[in-house]
Amino acid sequence: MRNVFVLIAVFVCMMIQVPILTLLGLTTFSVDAPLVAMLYIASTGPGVVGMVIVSLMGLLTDLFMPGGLPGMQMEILVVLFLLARMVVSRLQLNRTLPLIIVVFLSSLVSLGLFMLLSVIFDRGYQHSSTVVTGGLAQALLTALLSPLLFKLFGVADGRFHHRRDTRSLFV
Amino acid sequence: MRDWLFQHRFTAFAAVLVILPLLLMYVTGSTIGSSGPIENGTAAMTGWAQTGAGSVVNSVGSFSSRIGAVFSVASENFRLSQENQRLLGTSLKARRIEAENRELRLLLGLRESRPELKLLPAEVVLRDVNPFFRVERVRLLMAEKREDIPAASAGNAVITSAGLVGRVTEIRRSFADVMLVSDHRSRVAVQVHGTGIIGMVVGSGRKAGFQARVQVPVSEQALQKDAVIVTSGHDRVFPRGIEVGYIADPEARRQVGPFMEYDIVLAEDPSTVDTVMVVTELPVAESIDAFGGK
Repeated sequence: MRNVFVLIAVFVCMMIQVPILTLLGLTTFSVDAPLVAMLYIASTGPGVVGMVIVSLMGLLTDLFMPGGLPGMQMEILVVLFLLARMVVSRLQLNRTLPLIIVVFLSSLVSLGLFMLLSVIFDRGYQHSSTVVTGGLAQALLTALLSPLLFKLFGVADGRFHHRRDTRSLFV
Repeated sequence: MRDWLFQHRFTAFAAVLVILPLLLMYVTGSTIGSSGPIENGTAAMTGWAQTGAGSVVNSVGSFSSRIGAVFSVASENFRLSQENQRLLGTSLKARRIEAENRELRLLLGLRESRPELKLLPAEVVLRDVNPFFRVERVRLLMAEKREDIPAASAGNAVITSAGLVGRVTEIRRSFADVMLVSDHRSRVAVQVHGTGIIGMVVGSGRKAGFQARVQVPVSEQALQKDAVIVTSGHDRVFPRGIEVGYIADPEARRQVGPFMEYDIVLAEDPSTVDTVMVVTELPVAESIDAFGGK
């Protein structure tokens, strides 16, 4: 149950992302909040429940991604979760720089998996350099905003346990 | 067996959660264009949620700007500012109504100028949310069935008074996913207006700019700057004569196999469109192909 609030936070992030970016005039950008949430869950609860929550989050992302194949983000997030839980225990994700690097690398792996699964399952998919550049732009923006999102998920998680997240954001 | 499963529960769950989406992708990948009831229901739910979120964020933006105005001026200035805000608000409201009125008049004009097309109005509720696809989600505004207008279906063209927007790829209850002309998977049969040169418009896939490329046979004469590209109707998806865009820079053309490729600026920028028309039925003459078959 502890990650349900993180799931809700991701849901809210996805719902308000487009209207807020439109309000700010940044319609050409997008942030992969579920990826950051997946890393948060992998670092705080890398068990079965965490994996199921990540899977549900992927399904939710698929519903918010018109044009894509249902199950695509679900698969990508679960595979990344399995990879992440092997390495995050050795990294200090409460520090800004390692977090940004891990998120950026995860985004790149996510992009690679997206292209691979599209080639296999999506009959309408055609390779385009704009997919790569769009994916790289999203990876960069997601990595830069990941400390804030990590903090947000920490707050959401902490509220549920009636405790405050004391981890420093920029140390 | 139970103990073994309990001991290896993580591996078992991981296997299920890895295989399940693969099966989902396999099934939906082979039945593209037709969605199941669960997919329809959840997509409709997210569509409504996104519509609501958009309204809430707009309201919060308006509210925060008012709060900012209150704390930034002195008391006398505050009163004047309020008066100014009120007048500005009235002016903005009038302008918004004027713009909406203009848009509706254009759509009405479109309906009157192309009476042979069966058009269904739709409102854009979700624009690009990912870097991979140029797909928008629209809400069909006439949910109730009418005898004179057929229901929207996958493959229907989506247009505005300015030109072509894209085509419907999925219908989910009162919501539809529209693949824009700028999507890298999009193909539109076109002709250069007034010349008879036929070609194909291919989406650029770029998120900004809403550009595309037109490919014409190398043997054809070079196209002129600002040459207008319109749909030819040969693909039997898009009605004939809808403006797609115009040639931006003919000097920047390049040869791609047997075709000459030109960059075009799309006639309609989907990022600024709020209301569109779904062409639910092509005229009978256009539904008969060049070989005489139906």
